This record gives sequence, structure tokens and C-alpha cells, in this order.
Amino acid sequence: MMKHLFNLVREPGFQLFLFFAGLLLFGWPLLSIPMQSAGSAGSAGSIYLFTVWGIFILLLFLIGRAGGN
Amino acid sequence: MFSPLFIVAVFVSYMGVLFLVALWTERRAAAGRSPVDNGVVYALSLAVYCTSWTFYGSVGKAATSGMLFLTVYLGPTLGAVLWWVILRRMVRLKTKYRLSSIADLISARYDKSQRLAALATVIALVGIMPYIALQLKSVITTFGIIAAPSGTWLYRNADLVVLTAMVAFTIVFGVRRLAPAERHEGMIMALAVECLVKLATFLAVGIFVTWHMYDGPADLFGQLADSPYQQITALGSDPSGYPLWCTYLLLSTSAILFLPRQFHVSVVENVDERHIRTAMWLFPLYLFVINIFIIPITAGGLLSGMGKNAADTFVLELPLRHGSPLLVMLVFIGGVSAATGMIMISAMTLSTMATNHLLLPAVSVLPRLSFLSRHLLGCRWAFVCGILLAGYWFEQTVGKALMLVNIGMISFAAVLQFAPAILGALFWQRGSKAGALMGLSAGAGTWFYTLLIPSFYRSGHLAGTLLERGPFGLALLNPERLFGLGILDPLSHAVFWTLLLNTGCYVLGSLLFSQSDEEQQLARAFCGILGATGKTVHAVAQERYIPMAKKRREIETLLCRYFDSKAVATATKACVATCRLSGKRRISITELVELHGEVEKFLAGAIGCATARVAMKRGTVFSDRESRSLSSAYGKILADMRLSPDEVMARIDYYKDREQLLTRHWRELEQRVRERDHQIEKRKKAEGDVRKMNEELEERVTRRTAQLETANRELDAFAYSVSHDLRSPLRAIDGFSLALLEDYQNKLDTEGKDYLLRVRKGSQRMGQLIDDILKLSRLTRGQMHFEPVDLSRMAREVAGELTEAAPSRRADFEIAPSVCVTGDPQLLRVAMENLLGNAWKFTSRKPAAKIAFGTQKEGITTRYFIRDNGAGFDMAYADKLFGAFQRLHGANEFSGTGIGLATVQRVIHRHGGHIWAESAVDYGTTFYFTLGTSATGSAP
Repeated sequence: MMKHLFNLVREPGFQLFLFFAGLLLFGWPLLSIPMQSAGSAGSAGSIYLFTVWGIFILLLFLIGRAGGN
Repeated sequence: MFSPLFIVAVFVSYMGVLFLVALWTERRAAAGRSPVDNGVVYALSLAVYCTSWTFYGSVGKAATSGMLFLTVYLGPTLGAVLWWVILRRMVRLKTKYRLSSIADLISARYDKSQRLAALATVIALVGIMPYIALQLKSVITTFGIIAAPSGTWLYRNADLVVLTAMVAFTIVFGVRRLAPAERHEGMIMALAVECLVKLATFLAVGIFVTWHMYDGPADLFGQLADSPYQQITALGSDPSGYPLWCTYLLLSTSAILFLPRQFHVSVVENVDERHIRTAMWLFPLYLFVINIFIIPITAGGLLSGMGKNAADTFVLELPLRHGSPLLVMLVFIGGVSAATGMIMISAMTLSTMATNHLLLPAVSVLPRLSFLSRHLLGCRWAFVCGILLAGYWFEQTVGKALMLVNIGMISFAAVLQFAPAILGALFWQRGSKAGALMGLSAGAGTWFYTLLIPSFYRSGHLAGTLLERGPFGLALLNPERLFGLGILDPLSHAVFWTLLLNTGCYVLGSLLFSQSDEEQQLARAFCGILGATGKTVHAVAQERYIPMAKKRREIETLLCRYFDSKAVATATKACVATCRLSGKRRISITELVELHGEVEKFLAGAIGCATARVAMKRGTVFSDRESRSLSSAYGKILADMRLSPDEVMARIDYYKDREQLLTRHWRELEQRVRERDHQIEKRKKAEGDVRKMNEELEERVTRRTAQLETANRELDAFAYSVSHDLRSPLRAIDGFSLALLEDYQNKLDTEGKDYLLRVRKGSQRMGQLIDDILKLSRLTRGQMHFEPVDLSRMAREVAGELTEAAPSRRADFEIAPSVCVTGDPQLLRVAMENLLGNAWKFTSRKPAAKIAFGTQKEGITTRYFIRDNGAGFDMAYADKLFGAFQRLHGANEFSGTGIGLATVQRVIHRHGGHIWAESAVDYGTTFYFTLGTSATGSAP
């Protein structure tokens, strides 16, 4: 399964897809959905951003490793 | 609060440590073991992106605009996805064309245009000035916060001290050498260390606020939710926040590549493309970690009652107000780290660009300034001072009126203007010099008008109604509402127009104006840089008619304009050697072209591509014959290959790519060879040390042997003298005693005769003792001759002699057959004679003596025994058994001098064995002995 994953993330097309996915996920209007909840402790907006960011970094890590392999 | 002198001392010490780190790194790099050549250090050096803006400004932005600050870090994360495609191209181009700056890259692609390089330099200088101002502002402001007010010169002139320190550090760390295309391993390592320091200190503050001022994140966010500041975790309720969010995202995505300092650390200082793969995830991870505590720190400051406008300094004020002086100093150091890293790299790259693309072209136009070309290093230092002074001026005039983060965005918007020209350079072959000039000019001009001028108005340095009514009352040209577009915030508005006009003019200009042949060639090379490359092959054997000496003088004259004579000689020699022309008196036209190419590459590394190209064109001349030969050579290549020019270029690109791969492989091998050489050197040194030790040991052994031999000789002499000198009186005593007995026996009474007999016995005994002592001493010194010895036969012979000497005695000898050993036969004979003789003696009172000789196996050891049923001895005295002259029975019981067993022990020890005995009084004795491994032989 790791081999398939590495083959997938190694594709230049996946990296382009990830870039545009990031633009969507970190941009408006998708961002307005979690940002509309205001003021609660650990508001949805900041949790959403840091979570998506963390997943993004994980995917970048896989891309880096796949290229090395 | 600290004394100003103490703060300066700590700061200088910290920079001193960084300098030592840099020095150590450069020494290791010179020895071929650079600690910088790895992906982790490369990724950390990219964190120079996090300046004092991150340290202080992010909190400020969070206080006023909520989560908007995060876009500054999400943008580079997005950009990192495309690094393998974009950054890798730039790295390869840097290697191929020896690029030293972003202006170099732009100019190299677009026909090596000096005008473009100059324009890009001016944009960078003006655009980055606010950013430098921001760093200086942060250092000066934080110094003022933590320094105890005093009337000292240091306190009153903190600005000057900070400025001077920044100039000094920039020169010391980054502008020590003239060829900026060379790497600065020391500076990069210092940068990586700084990035770790600022991360650690920022995390320390975050932990302090979250767990020391409050009881953890739940408590902090709980209080925040009940306060009027909860909007800091959102984007605010204003929908216009989203265009600004997208603008910030776009600006930061471009800044990570096109900021001059980022270009330098990510492209110029890169040695291995594979490091990009590590940086792709490690750098975003760094950004993620450094941002974890932004919201907690902001919340902590606001909840403590500190105003939003002071949010830039929350990071420092919070530990200061809560009495944590160590943390305050750490934060100051962290903030200074963040600022100095940015200032160093930016000032270094900007001074390089200014020297290469502004000064040198000016020198070529104004001959009066030609002397400056020999003092390029000094010119760079002057530019460093000028750039930092300009930044300081901006900070004093405009910076005080604006918050840190807003100043930074102005710079980001400036470097965004490079994006269309550079992305077009990498991916669009049609992109032309004219288009790039038009696009850059339009974008930069719009940026200046829509962002920089309004900031001067806001700071009060320009008066008028420009921002209210537009220039000369023309509302359509209002810099913040251009052509009536009023729904965007000023930054988004400026970015929109600059990008539109920049990209539009670039595309339009590239389509309207055609490229020159050379431009097309460069466009193909740039766009196809990731394809295969290879060597250029001399397909045609050319006549060698061009005198090498003349061309060499030409090259040296050209280089003398920029370097001293020693550097010129070294560079010329290196270029000639690279082209394998050393020792040649005449060269062909293709060899000349290759040599010119090598010289141009060398020059480009020092003065930039565009200026190098111009210098080569002016400094080298082709004669008519040479020009005709060159045309003919290229024509012949095309004719022979039956290829069109496009196909030829494609093939050349293929072989050039291959050459790059081979060059990279060669560098790796060179590195490995250097490491192996180093290991071999170390091993040789170790072997040398061992050899020396061996020689010393052998010398010592020889000396000791000589000493021992001398001692032995002296002992021999002593023994001989003892035996000879003592025997004479003994002989006299014995002889005259005998004479008395024989001649005067009638005159002596019984008692007298008895006395004389005793005298004789005593002297005979003394003689025997002397003989035994001599024998014992000879035993330990004589050389041994090892040979097979049949101990069974030896024992039988000794038994036979004993029986013959006393035929009346009844004794049974049990001797094991075929007991063979390897040893000295004479010594073993002495031992057997003594052991069997003792057994014979001590069984003399038994009616039927039994004496046995045999072997026993104990594991792998063979032990030999001689057993008798004689008088035996008390085992309590066993330790005295082998002492010289020790007797366990009186002389009247059994005769002997007490030297026999000492002799046997010596013999056994010399054979590497040992001897012991077991006995009981009246029940006989068994002597056991072993012989060493080399002496042990076969036994039944």
C-alpha cells in the first residue's frame, strides 16, 4: 500500500492537484465555512486551519520521501 | 530592565558565538567535510523567511486582524508543493550560468540584458528597504523596552549602535569575498543556528504564557471566549477580510521564492537538488511549529489589559511584566536573531546586485569611474552601508507611523513584480526581453504609486489631497482607488493593479516584439533546463592556427579590469586547464570559443551575467579569419549531421543535461575521494605512531637484553670466581685434615680423630653445596634446545643406575611406556634424576619400595607423576618444599643439600609448566608436574 501511495504522490500531476487543493482549502469561499463560528474556545476556524495545514505538511513529507525512494 | 552595556555585551557575545560556528563550518568545508551539505541545514536556512516580523509582527497582526497572520506562512507551504518543479529549475540554471542573484537570473534569461538587471536591482533595492526598516525598527524598539533608562551615550545613541553592528556583521559574515556565486557555508550554518534559536525562544514564550500565566490552553481559551477579544481566532465578521486573506496568501507564496534573501539561500547556496525534497516538508513544519503559540500569546497580552496597538511587543512585554528577566533576554536575543539573519542576507545580495548591475555598467559608460572596478569588494561594503542607512532613514520617516506587519507587506508586494518575468522565463519560450522590461516597469511603477507613496502620505511626509481626490483632482488616478476600484483594501487594490499591469504588459510585449537569435537560444535553454544535457563535442577537427599566447594576453587584459594580477593569473590558468589547453601553442577556433565560454562563466560569478557578456564582447576580438572559421565549423556540423538548427539545439540540450548529471556525479565522487583521503591520512598517521612505538619498544628490549646479558656475564664471572676461590681453601681444609688423619692417627685420640672427620665432612658438604649452587644458577641461564624426549626411557635409565648403585635393595619400578614430550633433554634428565633419586632415597627404609612414573589426563592437560611409598612429609610444610636448601627431614635421617627440588622446579618452570606434591607422613609422596603447551607431547 505504501508503494502505491508513493507512486501516487510522486506524480507531478498529484503535486499540481495538491497545490490547487491547497488554494481551495486555504482560500475563500471554503474558508468562510469554519470561520463563521466565532469566539468559541478553540474556534472552528483556527482548528480547521491548523488541521488542514498539518495534513498538508504530512502529504509534503510523503512527496519528499517518495521522490527520495 | 537591563543596563544598555549589558545588553550590548550579551548581543555581541551571541554574535561572537555565531561567528565561531561560521568559522568552524568553513574550516570543515575546506577539509571536504562540510556540515552544511545536508537537507536539514538547507531547510533551516530557508527559515530566514521568519524575521522579526514573525517574532513580533505576527502577534500584532493577530491582535488586529485575527487569523489573517497565518496566510504569511500558509503561502510558503503552498509554494513548497511546486518547489520540485520551480525551485529545481532555478538551481540548475544557477549552476549552469553561475547566477548570483535574482536580477542575474532575470537578465541571464532575457538576452543578458543589462537594463533588465538594473531595473530588477532598483526594484529590489527600493522594495526591500521597508523590510530592512522593519528589522531595524524591531531591534531599536525592543532595545528601548528592555534597557533601563539612563543618560549614557549608549542609551541615547542606541540607533547608531544597532546600525553599526548590523553593518559590521553583514560584512564579516557575508561580504568577505568578491565572488558571490561561491558558497558561504559559514554564514548558512550561522543562519541555521539562528533559526533554531528564534524557534526555541518563541516556543519558550508560548509555554510561559500558556502554562505559567494561565493554567494551560483550556483555561486560556476559556477566558478568551468570555472576553471581547474572541475574534482573534476568526477572520472577523467583515466580508472584505477574504480578499485581503487571498492577497496575503498570494504575496507570501511569491515571497518565499522571489525575495532576494530567499532566492539566495534557496538557489545560490543550494549544492544538491535533493535537499529540496527535505526542505519541501521540513520548512513548512518549522513554520507550523513557530505559529502554534501566536494566538495564545496574543490572547495573553490582550487579556492582561495591553492594548492592540502595542501587540507588536507582547512577546517581550509579557515576560517583562511577569518578572522573568532570563526569558526577556532570551526573547531579545531571539528577536535580534530574526532581524540580523534577514538584514545580513538581504544586504549582501542587494549589495551584490547593486555592484554588478548598477555600478559596473556605470563604470563602463563613465571611464572616470574605471578605477572602481579594481575595488569591487570595497564598493560592496559601501553599498551595504548605504542600504542599511536607507533602511534606517525609511524607519525614521515612515516606519514610526506604521505597524511592523504593514511595512512588511509593502516589500512583499514589490517582489511580487518579479513573478511574471521569472515564471515566464522558466516556462514560456515566447517570453522576451521587451515583454519583461515592459512588465517589470509597469508593475514597479504601479507599486510605487499605489503603495509606497500613500505610506509617505500617511506618515505625514507628503502633504496634499492625493489620497482624497487623486493627483491634480483626478479621482480616477487616486492611488488607493485607481480607475474607481474602491471595494478593495489598499494592499489588495495595489496587488491587483500591479499584477494585472505587470502580467498584461509582459505578455503583450513578448507577443508584439520578437526575440533575437540568442534570446531564443537562451529561452530554449531555460525552459528545457530539466531535460537531458550533455557535453559539447568537437565534431570537426579544426586547424590549430590561432596563437594561444595572444589570446591568453587578451583574456588577462580583460580580467585585469576587475581583479588583481595574482587572481588574474590563477583564473586564466584554471580556465585554460578546464578546456585542456595547457601547454598548447596554437589552438583551433572551436577551442577558442570554449575558452571564451569558460572565462565568461568565471566573470559572471563575480560581476553578473549581463556585465560579463558585455565585458567579453568588448574585451575579446575575432579576426576575420577566425570569424570565417567559426561560421564554416558550424556549417560543417550542420551539414554532416543533416539536422536542422532546431534539431541541433535539441541535441545540444540533451548532451548538456548529461554533462550536468556527470558533473554532479563527479562532485559526489570527489567528495567521497576527499573523505577517503582524509581517512587514509588518519590511518597512516596511526600506523606511523604504532611503528614508532614498536621501534621504541624494540630499542628498549635491545637495551634490556644487553643489560641482562651483561648481568649474566657478571654472574658467570662471579660464579666462576666463587667456585674457584672458595674451592681452594676447601681443598686445603679437606686435604690437610686427611693428611692429619693419615699421618698423625697414632698421635690423635679418638676424640681428635672424630673432630677431624667432622671437619672433613663439613668441608665436603660445603663443596657439595657450592656445586649445587653453581648447577642451579646455570640451569636458569643456559639456552634450551627443544627436541623430542622419551621420558619413559629416561626414567628406566635413571632407575637402572639407582638399582646398580645399591643392588641389595628391593625396589619395584613401574614406568609407563611411551611417554614422549618435547623439551630440553639435559634439563629433563636433571629433573628426572632428582625426582627418582628422591623417591629412591626416601623409600630406603621401606622393605619393599614402590616407585611409579606415569601420566594422567585432566581435560586437555597432561600431568606427569612420580609416586613413592616412602617417608612422606607433613603437607603443612608443602610451601617449603621447593625452596633452595630447604629440608623437611634432618640430615641424619636422609642425606642431601636441599637443592634438588629447587632445581627440579626451575627446570619445570623453564619448560612453561608447574610442579606440586601431595603426601602424608609414612604413606609416601606423589610429585605432579605439567609441561607447557609447546613441550607437551604424546602420552598413553
